[in-house]
Amino acid sequence: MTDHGGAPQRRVAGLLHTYADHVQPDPPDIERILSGGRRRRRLSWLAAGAVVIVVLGGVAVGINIVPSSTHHPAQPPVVTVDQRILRAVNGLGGTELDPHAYRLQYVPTTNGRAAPLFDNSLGQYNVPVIVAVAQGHYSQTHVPSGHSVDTFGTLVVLFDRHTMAVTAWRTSGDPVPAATLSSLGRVTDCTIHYPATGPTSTCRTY
Amino acid sequence: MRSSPGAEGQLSEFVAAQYGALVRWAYLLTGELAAAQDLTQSALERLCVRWSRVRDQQAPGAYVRRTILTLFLNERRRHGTAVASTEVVGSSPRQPATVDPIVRLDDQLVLDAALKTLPRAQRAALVLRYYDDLSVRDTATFMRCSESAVKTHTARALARLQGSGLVDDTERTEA
Repeated sequence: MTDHGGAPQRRVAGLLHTYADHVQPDPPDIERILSGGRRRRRLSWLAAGAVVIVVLGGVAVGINIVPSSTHHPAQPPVVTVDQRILRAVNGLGGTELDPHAYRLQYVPTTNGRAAPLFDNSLGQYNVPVIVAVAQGHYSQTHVPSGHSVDTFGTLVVLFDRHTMAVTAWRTSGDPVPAATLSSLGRVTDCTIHYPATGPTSTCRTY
Repeated sequence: MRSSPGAEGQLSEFVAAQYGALVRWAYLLTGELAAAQDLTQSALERLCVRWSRVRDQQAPGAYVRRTILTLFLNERRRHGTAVASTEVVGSSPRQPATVDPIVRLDDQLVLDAALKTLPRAQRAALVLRYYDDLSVRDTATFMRCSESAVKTHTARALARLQGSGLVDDTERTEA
């Protein structure tokens, strides 16, 4: 209790009491209040349960009971060879089987950046292209037309990225350095197998 | 999840005994009976959830009042702070107020109109200070604000009432 001191304050107090006293509320609906309270209690239990689940889940992930996809190094996505490039490099699109695996690397880039790989002019500088490098043993079906079997170890091909038309190519006995390819862009590096069940590829990117 | 029958019985007794006073208190804040009853209903439902703890603290009335006040002030935040600046009915020059225990009916009408022009925090401060007769410190605690805020709210509320003619300017003292 406090002493307001002034008459105006006492008068306001009196007015407020009179103001409130004239209010005649309806009788309380106790059952409605209780049922409302039960409903709120259920909701609070549900909310508390949800919080507990979230907290326990977080703790479980935190102490590695439950693996978290973000806690471990991300699994590299499965990469498969681009079939258009594979067909283009094979040059024949044939399906004859070859027991030898070979390596196929390709990287999207531009004419200008790929130019050092080729002796001849590549034309417009900013044409989007794909540089593909195939290494290994080539059977008849996998040798670009005009070349004899096993006469080269590395085939470097330049494709127009939209039409997949071969715009330049060369052969070499030496592989293209990985750093050279990486400097062109993101490299997809595949090993192509031709088992009896059909061609398969194992790829990675870097 | 359910309260024990005994707890609900105690709660029912509390509601039956206190409902009228709580609605009247809420009415002082809202100025509307329906809104006061709704606020009281909501506060009592919340009391049901915490009945055991609140009962043990022997302060269910304070809990409900605080809940009503919180709901009232939060309602302000949801719907904005605009308060209709209605003209106070019958606020023509009045004779100086007196501390007369018999409050005239037109005073009630004027008070009703004047209270409705007050921002909610000022109205709450006024009710706590002069209806509940709380000190500035207790009012600040109840409203969860500073004592200076309470003084400001109260002074401004009194100034408004003085403007309505309910409080004589010459007699107004520090809130």
